[in-house]
Parts: sequence; C-alpha cells; structure tokens
Amino acid sequence: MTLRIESVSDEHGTTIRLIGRMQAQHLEELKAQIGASGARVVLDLEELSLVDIDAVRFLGTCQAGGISIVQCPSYIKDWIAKERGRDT
Amino acid sequence: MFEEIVGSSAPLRRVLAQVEKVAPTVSTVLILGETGTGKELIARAIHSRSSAQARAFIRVNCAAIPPPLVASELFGHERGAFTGALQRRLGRFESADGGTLFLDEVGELPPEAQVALLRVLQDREFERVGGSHTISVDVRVLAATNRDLGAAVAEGTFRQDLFYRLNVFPLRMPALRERGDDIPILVKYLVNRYAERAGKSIRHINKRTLDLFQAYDWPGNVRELQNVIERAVILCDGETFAVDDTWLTPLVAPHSVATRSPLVANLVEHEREAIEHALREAEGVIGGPPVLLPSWAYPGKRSNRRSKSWESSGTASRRPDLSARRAEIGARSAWARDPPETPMVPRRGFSKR
Repeated sequence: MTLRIESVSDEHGTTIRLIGRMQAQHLEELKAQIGASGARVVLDLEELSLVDIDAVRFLGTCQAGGISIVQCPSYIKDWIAKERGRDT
Repeated sequence: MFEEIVGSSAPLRRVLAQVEKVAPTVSTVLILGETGTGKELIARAIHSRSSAQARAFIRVNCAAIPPPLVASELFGHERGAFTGALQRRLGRFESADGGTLFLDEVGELPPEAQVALLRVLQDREFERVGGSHTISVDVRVLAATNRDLGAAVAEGTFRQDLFYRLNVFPLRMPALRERGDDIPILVKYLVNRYAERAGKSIRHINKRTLDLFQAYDWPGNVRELQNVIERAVILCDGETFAVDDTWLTPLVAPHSVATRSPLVANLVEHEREAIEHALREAEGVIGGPPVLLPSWAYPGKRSNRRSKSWESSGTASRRPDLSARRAEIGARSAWARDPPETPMVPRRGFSKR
C-alpha cells in the first residue's frame, strides 16, 4: 500500500488529504503539493493509516510552520509531540 | 505482520541512526535481536534507503528450507540436476541480482550451505546445482538471527569464517522491554489498526491496561503485543480498550525444561545437578565400581539417557564438557576389561575390584 494525495481547493484554502501509508520517499512529492497550494493549507490525516519516523518529523515541521493538521490519528499526534519534545 | 517501525525511544533512535549511515553503503549487515523485534523491518528500511531501492528485495527464511534443498533454493538448479528438477530454476541470489538478499534466521543454515554461502560472500559467484557455468552476481546481503552466533561458533554449529563475513556491520534491534517509551504509541497505533479492520470504534485505552503493558516483560516483543491487542480488540464490546490481566502472565519459564509443569521442571533440574555433581566427583567415570554414583545414575542407564535428553533440549551448554572425558573413559574401561601384559597402575575409579 502506498500514499495517495488528494487535494481540494476552495475559497478558504486547500485541504490535502493523505490516504494510506506515508514514508520518507513520499515527502518530496508532498512538499511540492504543499508548495503549490498557496497560503492556507490543511492536512487531513483521517485516512492516513501508517507513518514512519521521517513522516512524523515532517508533519511536526508542517505544524510548526503554521499548517493545520486535522483528523490526526491519536498515535501520530502523540508521536509528533514526542518528537517535538526531543527537539526542544 | 509488521508494517512499519513505530516509535521514537532512545534505543530505537540509535538503531535508526545506524540504519541511516549503513544503508547507502554496500556493506553486509547482520541484524541481531530477539524474536518479534522487527529485524525484517530494519532490513527493509536499509534496502529502501539504499541505491538499490528500485531493485528486488528478496527474503529467504533459512530455517524454513529443508536442508537438502537449501543449495537449490539459494543458487538455483539446472534441469535434471536431481529427481524432480524438471526445468532450470533460478535461485534467490540470481533473483536478487542488483538488489538485496535478506537471509532471515541465518543461524539455522546447515553446515554445507554455510560453506556455499561463504564462497558467494567472498567471490560473489556460484554455480547452480547440477551446473558447471559460474554465475556472478551483484547482491547486497543482509542477514538476521535471534541466535547468539558467537556462542554457535564456540559450539561448532556455525562457521567462524562465515560469522566474520556476515558480521561486518552488526545492528541489534532492542527488545520491546527496552523501549518502554514506545509502548503507548505502539498500542494506540495497533488498536487503531485492528479496530478499523474489525469495523469497531475504540476511542479510549484503559489506563490500567497501559500500565500493565508497560510493566510486562514482552518475551515475544512487538509480535506478542500485536497478538494481545488483536485478541483484545476482537473481544472489546465498548469504546474502551482493555485487556484481561491474566493474558500477560508468563506462560513459559526461560529455560527449556519449563515446557513441563514447575514441579517436574524442578525435579529434572535437581536430578541434573545431582548427576552432574556425581560425575564431577567421579571425574567423569560412569563405569566401574559402584562407589561414587548413586544407583539411579548407573552406566548406560538413566544418567546416559538424561544426558542425551539435555543435549536434545539444548541445555547441554550448561553441563561440564564431558565428551572428551567419556572417550578417555571408554579407552580406559577397555584397558580395565583386558589389561595389557605389562603391569600399569590404573587411576582411581578405573580398577576392577
């Protein structure tokens, strides 16, 4: 299983839905999508089933950079918090 | 089945840092760790971060191949090489050419396969079974085992030269009990996954269950955790995940005799100690006058049978090495039965009385 990236834009901004499994090799593509999406970006993780540590660090960086993350599975939320705790 | 390395505890981060460093190289990696710690995940992580990531990743479970078929499985065979070889078949090394070959349970390889593997690791070439054409391959070998290969070398069951060939870059996967910090994240992840699969909505995790998980030893590591969670999710009727305390009681003691009941295990242990003590006292003599050994440990009877039973149960390494002594005793016993004409003074315990 791999990662599917679905992007929906409206007047409020762009919502990027991540579906499946996100790993280090998907990050470049995702960065490009976020970069092309304008100012207001929301990452919807409801259907993100699996992440690796690189993906977690990336999501943490996104959050710190002002990108909203919604419907985040609780284990990913905890993991991001843990990673952030180590960085500080 | 494991799907990803989840967690960020210090021991896991140390391993991942090593993975980052070794992955881009072509070095052979030996992944060590208890069963269920995720050694294959580490192998896959190395492959996916290597320059061969677009090429094949071939896994071979060395313990699952019958010894006579190991060579054919690894190196392939020519048509007619043996009964049933109806056509040429490529081996795993050829299939993995340009990519990565992961030899899981490498400590279980039979001796003849160890020799063949050593040659491939040294020369990067081999012949198919029944073939005469030498085939060269460009394969990165990753190997894994839960055995103590150093001890296996000392016991003579694993070749020392192969061990050094494989042990270029050893990586040790920490046991789950060493990564207690990862347990809450792992539990949440696994509960989510199994609940989704079972079509259930589990929103909370019982605090006592989490405490129990963190206090438990997890001898089966992440695989055991997965199984416990899968079972609990199946049985869960509400929105709170909880497990029965009794599930986390160790079922087996660490020693091999523990497959029996504790009482029997104690008896066996005491019997072993008594026999070993008696053998030491008699300097290994198990024949001759009945002065040192108790009656139940007489030659060729129970003590021998027990010794064999320990050997087959893998506890032989805890006994003193008496095999050489027994050979000497055999020779001396023969002398005692049929002494040479020149008088000799036998050592204590060897004379016929």
